Amino acid sequence: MRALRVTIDEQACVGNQACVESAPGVFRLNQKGTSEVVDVAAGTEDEIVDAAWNCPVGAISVTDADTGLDLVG
Amino acid sequence: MTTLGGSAVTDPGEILAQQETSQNPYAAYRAVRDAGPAIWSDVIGSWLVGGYNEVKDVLMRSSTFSSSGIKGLNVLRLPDAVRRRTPLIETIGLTPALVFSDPPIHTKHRRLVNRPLVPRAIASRKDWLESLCNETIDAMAAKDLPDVVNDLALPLSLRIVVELFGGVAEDMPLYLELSQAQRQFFAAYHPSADVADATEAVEGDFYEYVRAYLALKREQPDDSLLSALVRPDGDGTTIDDKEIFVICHVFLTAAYETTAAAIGSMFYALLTHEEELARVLDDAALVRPAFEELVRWESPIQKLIRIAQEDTQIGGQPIAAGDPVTVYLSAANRDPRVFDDPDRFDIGREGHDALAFGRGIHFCVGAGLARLEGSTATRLLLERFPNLRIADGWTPLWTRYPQSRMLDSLPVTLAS
Repeated sequence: MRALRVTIDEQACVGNQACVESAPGVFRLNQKGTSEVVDVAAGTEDEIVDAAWNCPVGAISVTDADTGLDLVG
Repeated sequence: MTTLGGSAVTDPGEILAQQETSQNPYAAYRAVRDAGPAIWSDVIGSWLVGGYNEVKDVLMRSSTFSSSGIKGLNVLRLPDAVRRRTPLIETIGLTPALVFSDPPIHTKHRRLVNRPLVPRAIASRKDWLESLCNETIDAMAAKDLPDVVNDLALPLSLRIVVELFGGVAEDMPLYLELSQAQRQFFAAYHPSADVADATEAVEGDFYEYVRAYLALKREQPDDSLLSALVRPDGDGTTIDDKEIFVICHVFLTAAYETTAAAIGSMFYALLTHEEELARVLDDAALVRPAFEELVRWESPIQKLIRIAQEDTQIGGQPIAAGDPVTVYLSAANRDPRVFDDPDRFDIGREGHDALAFGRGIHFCVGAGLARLEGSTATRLLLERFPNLRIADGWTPLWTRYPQSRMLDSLPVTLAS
């Protein structure tokens, strides 16, 4: 399985938690009420891409850690 | 004790409940904010919350502050004789759906509704949106007395909802009939048997309409909302037609007049603020931040209601399990502790973090669409008619629905 780079634009995040529902071990809500990445290895690539796709403000990016390729599309 | 307009009152809800307050509610919102983190209103029968941090706190704690059952309140207060005649209206009111539900129902509905609405899906609809805007602007321009609210904002917003559902422009009269019937039905505290029967009949027509489209979308899937609602979720489960019908109802209410309200208010704001208008005319890239500022300044959805599920606190104020809590987005969006000079319409505001689209799990699923729709309509109308002006002699009349902020009309002259 390829290595993923997952980043969250904290300014854009509205605490919707759609990402937490798609990939529970990967994302969590922090004290500030925004999402953060806990452990990229805790979810499958499909789950993580689904989390990024479902974000209502498009705050999550998922790229191939080696090539930089955008995996959300 | 709060002082409002010179007279001393203890319950800001008393002012908020008066019809004329809808013309300018901001002094009353300030009174709610100044009264403390949460203040009980006997008149409204709810806690009132208007501070930015407190409103955000309530919205984020969605398991403590439930959204389920709110929609049913206006059905439950109807006389039994009316309720017996209106089983479909009863189902719509009492079936938790989308923004009026809690997890796990909410989680499932949102996942399905999200499909055609996430930013990446909306981005692919740009051309479609532009052509609908242009068509509506053409029709508006052909009028003798063009009106931004009634000839652009409302028909455009409805057309977009109908086509997003997967329907066609010819379906629009049914949606209009439905909207008007519902308004008439719920505006009457004791609707007559005739009104109840007529409203139930329109609901029946809309149910059959939705079901016919669902059957079609099962056969011929596409990228529409109705198609997304019949496609099985990741776990292979589907939801039945009646539940989808209720979701459509909630979606129509949440999408149609709210976005239209924002577009109408956007032009009102720009046409009454010459410097801001000049900046937007000079640089179309400022339309987007201008729309963001507009939904802060005149938030289309003024308030949301929640029910406390346990004994809790809001900013230190104890709240008992079962208590209704009304959060005023529009008060939070003008909180001077967060926004400098909050009553000023300023499209250059930095670090914008208004709560116009809510926050947390119920953050508006249509926010991306509303933002694109609002900014596209604004840009295209100003491109075509840069000399747009408000018609002589007009004064603003805000509609009297206390939950929304919408102009009744905005007549304009298109050219100099």
